[in-house]
Amino acid sequence: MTGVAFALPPSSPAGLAVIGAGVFLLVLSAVRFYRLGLRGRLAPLLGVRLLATGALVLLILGPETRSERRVDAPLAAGNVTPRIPPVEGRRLDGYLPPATRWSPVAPPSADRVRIRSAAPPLLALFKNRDRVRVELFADLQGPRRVELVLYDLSGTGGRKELRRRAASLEAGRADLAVELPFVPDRLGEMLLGVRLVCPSGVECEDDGAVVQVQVVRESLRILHVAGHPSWDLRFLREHLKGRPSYEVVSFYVLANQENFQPLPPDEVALIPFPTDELFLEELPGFDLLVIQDFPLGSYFLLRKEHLESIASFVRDGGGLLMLGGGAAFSRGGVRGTPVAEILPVDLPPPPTYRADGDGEPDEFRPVLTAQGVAHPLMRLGLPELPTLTGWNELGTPRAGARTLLTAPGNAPLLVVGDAGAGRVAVLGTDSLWSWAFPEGSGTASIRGYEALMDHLVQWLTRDPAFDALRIRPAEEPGRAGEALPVRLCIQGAAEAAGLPLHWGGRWSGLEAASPGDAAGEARTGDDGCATVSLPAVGAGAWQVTATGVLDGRAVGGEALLPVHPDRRTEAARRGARVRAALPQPFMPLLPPPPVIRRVLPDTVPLTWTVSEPLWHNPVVLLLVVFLLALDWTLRRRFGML
Amino acid sequence: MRCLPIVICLLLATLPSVASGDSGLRLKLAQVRMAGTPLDPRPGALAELAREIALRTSIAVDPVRTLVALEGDAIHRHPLLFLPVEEPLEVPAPEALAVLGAWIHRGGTLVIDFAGDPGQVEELLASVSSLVAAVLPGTRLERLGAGSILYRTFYRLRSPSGRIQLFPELYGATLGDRLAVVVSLNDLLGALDRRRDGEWRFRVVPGGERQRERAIRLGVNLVCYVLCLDYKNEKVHLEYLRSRRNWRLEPEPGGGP
Repeated sequence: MTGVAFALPPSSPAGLAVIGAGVFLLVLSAVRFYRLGLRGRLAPLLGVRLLATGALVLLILGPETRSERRVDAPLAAGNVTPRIPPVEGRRLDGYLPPATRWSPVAPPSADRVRIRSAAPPLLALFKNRDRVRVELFADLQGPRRVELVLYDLSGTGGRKELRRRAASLEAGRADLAVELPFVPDRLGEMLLGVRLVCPSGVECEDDGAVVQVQVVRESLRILHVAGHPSWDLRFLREHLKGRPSYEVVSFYVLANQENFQPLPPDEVALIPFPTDELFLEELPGFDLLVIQDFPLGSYFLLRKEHLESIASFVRDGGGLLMLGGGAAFSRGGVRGTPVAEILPVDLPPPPTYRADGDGEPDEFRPVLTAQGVAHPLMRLGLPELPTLTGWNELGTPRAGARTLLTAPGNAPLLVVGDAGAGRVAVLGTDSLWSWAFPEGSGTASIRGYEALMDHLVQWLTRDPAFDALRIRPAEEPGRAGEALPVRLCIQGAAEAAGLPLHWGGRWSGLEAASPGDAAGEARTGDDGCATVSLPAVGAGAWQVTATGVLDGRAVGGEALLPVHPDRRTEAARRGARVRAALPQPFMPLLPPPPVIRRVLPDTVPLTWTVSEPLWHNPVVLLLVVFLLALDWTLRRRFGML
Repeated sequence: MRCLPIVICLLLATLPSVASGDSGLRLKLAQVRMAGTPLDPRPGALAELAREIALRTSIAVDPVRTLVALEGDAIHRHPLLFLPVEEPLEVPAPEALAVLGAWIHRGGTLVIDFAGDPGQVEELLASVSSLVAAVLPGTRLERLGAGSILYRTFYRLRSPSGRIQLFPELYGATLGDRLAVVVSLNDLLGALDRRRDGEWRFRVVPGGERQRERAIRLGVNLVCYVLCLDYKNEKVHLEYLRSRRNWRLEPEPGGGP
């Protein structure tokens, strides 16, 4: 027996009324005994009366005894598929087939919220406020408040909270859009994490999301300086100005000292060349400096400090594109200046421009070198490079430089290289405009010109797409809880097989405050790529870096790879709610066979509670009857009936 | 501050020469002939313009002018073509129109210089409008106002000049942000035409040599424009000219060049 209960609880109003009536009867009996002069027998008479009245009150309250019964019942055939044999001796207490365990004892919480989607801007502008739009789905019984937290997962120090915003949700089933503002403070790819925080009593489903944002400058700032107007200048200017994402500031020398006529200021539209302002003050604000057929080393308004400033600009991360012509490179006195030190070529001593002085410059077809074939910069989509006319002798490429195009005699024509944190490209011709203004009806060379110029700008301004070592997920974006295969590919090298690479990854988790690490080594295959595997982690972002040495120079790349949360389907979501509703571990409705084999018993324990009225006990019944009979006999004996 | 350019000029004049276009590719001034136009009405004009450009600017220019025919691929070597005409234009053959249209869309600029009877100007403008409509559908020939960039690409000018000075405005057709066709009505090339013996071929009326100088300056400005496009519309130039030289730069109606 586990206890006694009452059909009519004594503490209930009705129970109290019954007990009160019993007490009133006792008091009434005592008064009557006293008036009848039964003072000497008052105690035994009242005792019997008390017992009889108590028994009567108990009779009305309806006491029950409760006891628990338990049996091991054999599992009924047909409850599980007959293809799965039961396993001997394996029992799990508490297991019951679903059909017999549905219970209304613990109804599931109906308050639940989930992230339906998180949408970042397609492109975000550097240092410009933007926002991630998060759509929530809520199913609530009453109004609730949840919190959304926006994290930056792009840094190496783990997640960084950018914004926390509360959202008030009304009762019922509804969608709600919440905007989380942020200010991108890094260029390139940025990974943001959104986390949903629910108060107690509200279940958060799909409470995380990882989104990618491409952060770009409002415009790429280009300073275009030219030694004299020319067709090469004009078509380059038209191309650069035609790109809305480029902000071009130009300064062209329209007249030089040998032909400048002193005229009243009101008659000429020329303005002084602001060399100090451009090269000493404003240059660091540009991303790329284009110097076109300009006598850098001999122009009278340029001093050594201007040239040193240009060199510093490049070493500090700026891009420099030097284009050829009759006043460029050695002809413009660049050799021996600070600018010459950052060029990827050793300029030759004699100031030469091939084929000048004998009439028409020679026409030639530039040759794509093996390094040029492999370099992403030279993916121009041209079956054959168009011809050019005249070229500068650029000298010898320096160590680490890459010659992409050559002129007749294997002379370097387009050479690129690094200088400190910046990049430099030199193109020794002033006839590239002929690609943009071709003869005949074909337009392939126009596309080739535009591609080459765009690629040069992108490469010089360190567009990640032109990194020598490219890091990308091998197949699909990462998922939480799964290893992430990653491809490390060498670009711009004809022979990149068997190259050892060192790689490292730092994981910033959406739910983890501190980052995780992974590292290893790999070797490229015949295709110049190596595949490595990042360990399974939770939702967040991997910041992967890889380095190697190619042709004696260090190459590297880095990438941010997202690890998305494992978002559940609606069916999985409902299954989770069913499991949560059950008081004990639940066998899935459609469990995978190995799990069933492990948990399937041959019998199951059945437990239930048995309730029995106290009167079902004959001893108790006889005792009550005896008391009532004794009370009746005594009252009759003393003349009270 | 107004004397700053003069100081720079003096500095320039005293410093040693620097190669700045005396080699490398040179600009070739070319004259085109269309069916129905005179064979070579101003034979010495472009060579004289080339000489003046070489003297006055840093542009490396070939002293020899080139003659090309509209038919054929030769015009694709010359993004700037001068077309002297004495009569209203005849509509070219479809093949020639296609070549001209492709040339303009790739970046070519055609300067039509009228050297005929001033009484035929309306007919000439109508014929040029027809040509523009044929090669640049959706584009109209428009008057270029006093704020046009052509009047300040190198020299500051207030109106077009030529052998005569009857028509105060240039006309032009714009493709995108670029003037693709420019029409001069005052016989610009006539003012520049010099004979082999060094004498000018025509008298310039009514302004004499000052008018000829303005015509030369317009020629220089035209060449500077096709090589530098809207360079002189950049903010730094406009602000300098407005604030330091108190120039009143009138905006071009319609926002054109």
